[in-house]
Amino acid sequence: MNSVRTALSRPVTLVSVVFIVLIFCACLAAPLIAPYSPIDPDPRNALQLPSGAHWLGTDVLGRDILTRLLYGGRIGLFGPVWAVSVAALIGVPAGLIAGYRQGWVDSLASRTMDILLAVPGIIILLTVVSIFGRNTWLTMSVLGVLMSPNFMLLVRGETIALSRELFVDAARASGSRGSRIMLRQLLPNLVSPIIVQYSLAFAIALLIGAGLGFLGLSEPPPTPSWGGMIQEAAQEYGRAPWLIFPSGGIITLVAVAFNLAGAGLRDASTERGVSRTIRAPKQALAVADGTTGGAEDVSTEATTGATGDGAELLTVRGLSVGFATGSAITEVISRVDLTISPGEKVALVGESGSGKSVTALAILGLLPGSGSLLGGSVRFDGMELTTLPERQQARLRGKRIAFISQDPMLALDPCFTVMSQLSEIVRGHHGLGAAAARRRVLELLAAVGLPNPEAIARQFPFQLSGGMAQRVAIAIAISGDPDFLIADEPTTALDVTTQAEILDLLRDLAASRGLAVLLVTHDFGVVADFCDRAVVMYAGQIVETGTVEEIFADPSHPYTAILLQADPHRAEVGKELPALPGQVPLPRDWPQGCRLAERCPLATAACAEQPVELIEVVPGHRSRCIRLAALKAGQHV
Amino acid sequence: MLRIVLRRLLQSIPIGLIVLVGTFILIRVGGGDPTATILGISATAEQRAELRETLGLNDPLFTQLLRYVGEVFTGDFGDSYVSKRPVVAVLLQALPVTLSVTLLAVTVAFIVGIPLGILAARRGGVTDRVIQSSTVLFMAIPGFWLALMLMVGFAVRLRWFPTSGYVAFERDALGWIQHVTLPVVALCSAAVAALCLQTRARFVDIFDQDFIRTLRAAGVPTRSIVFRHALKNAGGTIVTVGGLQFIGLLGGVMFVEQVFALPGIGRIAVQAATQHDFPILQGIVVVLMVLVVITNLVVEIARAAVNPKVRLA
Ligand code: SF4
Repeated sequence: MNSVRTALSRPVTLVSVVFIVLIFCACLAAPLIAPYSPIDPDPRNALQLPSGAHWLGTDVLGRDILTRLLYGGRIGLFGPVWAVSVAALIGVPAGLIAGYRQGWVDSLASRTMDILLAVPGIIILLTVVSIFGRNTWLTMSVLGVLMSPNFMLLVRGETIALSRELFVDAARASGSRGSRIMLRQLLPNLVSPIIVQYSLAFAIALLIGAGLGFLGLSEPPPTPSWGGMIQEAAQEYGRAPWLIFPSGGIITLVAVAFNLAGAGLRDASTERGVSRTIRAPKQALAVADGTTGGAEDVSTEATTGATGDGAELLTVRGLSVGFATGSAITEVISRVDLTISPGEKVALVGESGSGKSVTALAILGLLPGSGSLLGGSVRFDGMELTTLPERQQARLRGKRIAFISQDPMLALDPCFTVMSQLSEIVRGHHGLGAAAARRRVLELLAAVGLPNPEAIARQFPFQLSGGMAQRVAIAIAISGDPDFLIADEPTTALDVTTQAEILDLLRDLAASRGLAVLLVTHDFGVVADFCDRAVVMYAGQIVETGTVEEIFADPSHPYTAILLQADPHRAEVGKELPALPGQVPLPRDWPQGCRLAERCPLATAACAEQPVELIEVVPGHRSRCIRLAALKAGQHV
Repeated sequence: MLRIVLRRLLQSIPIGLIVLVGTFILIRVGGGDPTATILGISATAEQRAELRETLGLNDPLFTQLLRYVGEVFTGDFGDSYVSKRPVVAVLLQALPVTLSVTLLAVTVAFIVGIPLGILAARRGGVTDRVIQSSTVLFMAIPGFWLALMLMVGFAVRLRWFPTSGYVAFERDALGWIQHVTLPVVALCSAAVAALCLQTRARFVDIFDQDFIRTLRAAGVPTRSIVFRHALKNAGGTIVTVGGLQFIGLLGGVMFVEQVFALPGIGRIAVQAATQHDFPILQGIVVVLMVLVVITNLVVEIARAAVNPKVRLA
């Protein structure tokens, strides 16, 4: 019911509902408020245009149109109300029982609904009228039966989904009776979708009811009905074209109002649903200790990736990104600085909500629709990307800057074979002919270690395993011979063995092609294993940056320190440790002072006072903490 | 693929039979004595008794039912009570009219609705809001009322089109176009709106997906992303919605035919309903069910053609 309140807080929905209520009340109160008689003719005043005496004019018999509209609403509105109520009274219980009991009850109900759906509705209605005469309530009952599958299918689906949720199981286990569960537990959860369906179905029933009236198959004259009034107007269009507007107009307005009200409520309840259930999976930081095999690589490699030698490939300065929520813009990345030299492998580490992926997408120029750059610069090989026209950015993408995303099963277009999507990309990069492109694709697939490229090329993405799909995605990434690769959690969605293989492949490719890599990850094991330098992010800010060797040996921010101090024996690549209690605060809750203050064991009152700046600890190693001395003094974190 | 088609066909036979039997019983039990309709009120009791005998109305209901179903399967729907012409002949004459209008309307819906939906999804902002508001309006306007306004405006006032009637395409192509234009516009507007809305929703959805980002990151031009990749991914939804809309049009066309006095299935149905001409109504039920089955099959095949997951399943 809360979604009803959410929906009503929007002006459009509110206006629609108020309009609906007013129209219903006016038609119910017709005898009290209507200025004339709906039936008695007044030939002297026939076919008048709107005037003070007749606000909407008069019809061919001199009857007041407004009066007839008000009375006609009794059939025009309550006919559909009846039809949709019948549909709901049949469909809702049938759907509940079918969805809850399953088995043969479900099959029987579903087959019955299949039959009702196959029936050509309008013709059946015509037949019924032909047999039983013009009886609106009977016709509308039949229409209700024909519309009941809409409710049944909806309720059945929702019931099955809800039954899988815990509370029904719990009620079942505690021995509640089925009918009780259905009424007490399931039905209340179905109220919103049923109201949505009711209002959308109402609009349809309204149009069909009016149509029958128009065909002269509703109540016989002189009883007014909206459809019948259009029919009467149609006979006079030569003399009084005005007449077709009031009746058709009111039907349209009511149908619009019901559609808008239904859509408003649906949007409100799905939004609530999204915020309730579909959250991004939380990533805790994974930690590697400094003594395992992975970190030994670091000590040798870290020195080679020297920083600040003046030949940076990528320089990010003061990058800020915001997301629009409603009319407000919330900052999610605050003044991020980043440099990457050719061939260097840099990790961007953080929990989910730290802003690391958004940073990567902002560099690529592929922020999702509601995101926008708030400031800063992204220079790549001397070009300023933030001001580069989209067309030229697109030319850089793939050819100079490539991208690999997290879930390989979602990263490839499911409707095209590996060959057809790769060859399109290859042809775009190199302007090859079809045959040459084919050869190049097969070379690429072999280069990323796929056995039997010919067979893989013929597959659709959903026919591949996760590891194979990620190799295809890597093949796409290297197809344009880029010099910079952004990899967003490239191993997270894979199983542990495959993770190691993919990481090895990336390492080999980076080495043989001299690729610079920005690796976005939440996994310190991967950082130790793969990268030269690390940039640790928290709540949209960089909190520490330095070579991997230094960060592991001498973490200079409480956040990093805590993560790395966690029990080393439990730490390995891919294993996640919930190292800090709590989670990253939402952007709108970011404090003025240090954003870690709430979770930091070293926090003092001073920490919360003002924004903390990033300071250089030793050359090339920076940290955003005012209590560095305390940290270095070994105060317990 | 072939298996899907065959299964669909086999599934629709029992459903069709049940509907057929249902309408037969409804009409025989509730419809009263057809001899009054056939012979008129002036007929004598003997004449009517004789006719009852020849029509087999004195047989048990079940025998009549079996006979009727058997006849339907051999393509014999009996004779009209009123005009005495065979139902099949009447329907065959009316079908091209109805199909002209509905097929054209659904084609227009595809041609106009899909690009509008893509435009709304890609442009966003004011364009999106204007398009969305118009779809809400056009889905709410009663088709026959729109038909009436179009007729008064363009046929009566401006005289650009004839107000009523129909000319077969083979006889006079230009005349055919003139006669069907307004009905098609009136009929398709709601379907255009529905297709536009669904295409828009699907495109917004697809553009949120990872593979679009992969393509953009690989430098694939926007034109190809929209019209090759996104459109193909949206294809399944679009043809499904299109099929449902076509089925809806088969109902809506009844009203529009009435406005423009098009001699199609709908006009015949309304006439039959007022004249209690049950064989015609029953025949139309069968014809419409067959059209629905065919539509669903076409949708199924089209879905398999665009979506490899359906095809390979
Ligand atoms: S500034 Fe204060 S709260 Fe922030 S990390 Fe340092 S000690 Fe912790």
